[in-house]
Amino acid sequence: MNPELAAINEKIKAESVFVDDMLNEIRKVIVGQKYLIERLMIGLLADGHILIEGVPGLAKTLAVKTLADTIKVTFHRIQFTPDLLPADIIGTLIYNQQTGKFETRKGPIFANIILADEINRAPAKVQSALLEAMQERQVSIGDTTYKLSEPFMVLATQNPIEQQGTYPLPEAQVDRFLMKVVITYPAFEEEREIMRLHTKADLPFAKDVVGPEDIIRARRVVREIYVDPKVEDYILNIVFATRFPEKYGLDELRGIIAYGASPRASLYLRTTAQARAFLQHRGFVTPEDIRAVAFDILRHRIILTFEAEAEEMTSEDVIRKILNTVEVP
Amino acid sequence: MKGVKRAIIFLVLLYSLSFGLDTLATPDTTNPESTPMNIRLEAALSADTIRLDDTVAFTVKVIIEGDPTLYTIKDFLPSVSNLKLVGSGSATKSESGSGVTLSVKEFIFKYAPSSLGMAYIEPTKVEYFFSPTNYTGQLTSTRFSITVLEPRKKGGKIPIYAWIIALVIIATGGVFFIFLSKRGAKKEEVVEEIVPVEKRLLEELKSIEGTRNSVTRAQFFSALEKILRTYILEKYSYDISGRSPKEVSEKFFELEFPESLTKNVERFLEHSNLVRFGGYSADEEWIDDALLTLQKLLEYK
Repeated sequence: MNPELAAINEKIKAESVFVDDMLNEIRKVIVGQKYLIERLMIGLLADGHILIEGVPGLAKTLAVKTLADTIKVTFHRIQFTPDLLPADIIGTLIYNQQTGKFETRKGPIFANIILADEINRAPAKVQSALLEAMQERQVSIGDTTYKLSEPFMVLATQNPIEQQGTYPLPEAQVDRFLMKVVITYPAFEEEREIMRLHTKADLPFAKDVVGPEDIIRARRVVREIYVDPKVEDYILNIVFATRFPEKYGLDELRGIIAYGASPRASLYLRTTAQARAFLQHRGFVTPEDIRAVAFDILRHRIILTFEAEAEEMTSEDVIRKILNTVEVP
Repeated sequence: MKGVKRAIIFLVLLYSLSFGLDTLATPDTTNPESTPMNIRLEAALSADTIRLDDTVAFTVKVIIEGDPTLYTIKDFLPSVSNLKLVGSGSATKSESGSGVTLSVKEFIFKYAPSSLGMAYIEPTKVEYFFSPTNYTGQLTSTRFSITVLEPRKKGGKIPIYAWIIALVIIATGGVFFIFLSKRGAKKEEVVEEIVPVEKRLLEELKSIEGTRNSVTRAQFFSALEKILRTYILEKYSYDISGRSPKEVSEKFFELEFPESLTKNVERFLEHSNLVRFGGYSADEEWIDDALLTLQKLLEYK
């Protein structure tokens, strides 16, 4: 075996030990939702933000809060409402009558993990303020620019069933989220366990098992995970199939996709697949990793035409067709 | 009654195959850019509307003008939706005329619909290798759609016009049969019988084993994994491409394979991943294990 790859494998095995401790703590509180928890961990390790979509009551907020509880970091929750202002998130300058000077009051964005609850309830200017901070990882209050502390991660939730009084995120802004995760109801037995666990007198809680420095170090190690050229080709073929479906024998998608996935999708497919391999203590990426994250990376990056909407076709249908057609190495 | 129906179906199939399915389906010729020499592909369906309790034959013909031994056609399996593969076979025909030898490699896939509505056969890609120039090319068919109707009502009376049509078809078939018999003397025809997937893949496994020391370990394991994928897809209509060893193992459990065989398959896939994507160099033991596991799998049941 290539000694360099052997070293990476050993390093990953050693560095990824904390993952199991975190997952054990999270599972004390969250029943099921394996998919959501895995995506949250991937987002944390791949240094990206996540948009979570699901009906109310699926433990979206609890999952995010529990994730934050397992790390020794600061956590803030911001409930988005129609009357929210950018200053309510970023912070503002307050005039101090005693000193006669303006003082900076930092907003809730100054935390390591932010839960932006029901992001689509706030108007565009508030969404913009948050998304800009997410992208730049710094905010300006008055004349001063403040860097946001690392690790910095925004987990935004939105509810798909209520459309009245909401402000849907524009496509270009949704693209800033590393992943868009869609969650569904728990299974029968999982719900039974939820009922039993969360109606006890003493509610379960997760304790912090890692520090922010562990996360920052893990993020660097994740980037070292080996991606074979065959797997890279697979990523590129998937992304290119969203742009030129007919070249991949997907003639039925011609006229369905208005805009295919951007190079950001290729980049994110690679990093999230690396993060998934890290979660499984593996020093290399397999096509299975790519397929596992493909829906979360691509569903908000493929823009469909009106024709597709008329045929009630979703981006998930398109991704499914592409994954079933593009040859797996 | 059943005997008459079978005879009608047999005659119609015979008639269709003899005439390149011209009468029942539209042939599809591939992109000429991918045919550097004299090779082309034609694909046809036996019917574009079938009943739920019927089957449909999808025929792919690779037609080579000249010496057919210069071409190697790679195995392929059409990607389908709402259809189950119920049988497959291949045949090779060759004929000479005007100093040119025309070889036709014919692949027939028989499908049964899974549910009412629409069923599709996605564009089929056939890869070939042209040995004089080491050229690897690809031929692609178009997409086919099939309308699946309600199954036939059992015990219903057959209307008189159906009998008349059947008689006409039998008579026409008979005439063509005599005509073909006479013409057959001029042709040299070799028809292979339908080979069970296990037998075909065991032969392939043996030929891959022969390449053990001439290809890279990654290529060797890719070829072995392809055998496993083909077998599970053809036999159980389940695509294991891109599935984790654990997922495949769960599927094997569902399919009621013995536990030891399931574990061996899982271990083979783990080794395959390590060799193909993790830069590991497989030792001889891994290779022996892999060959033995696949052989046992293909010989099982």
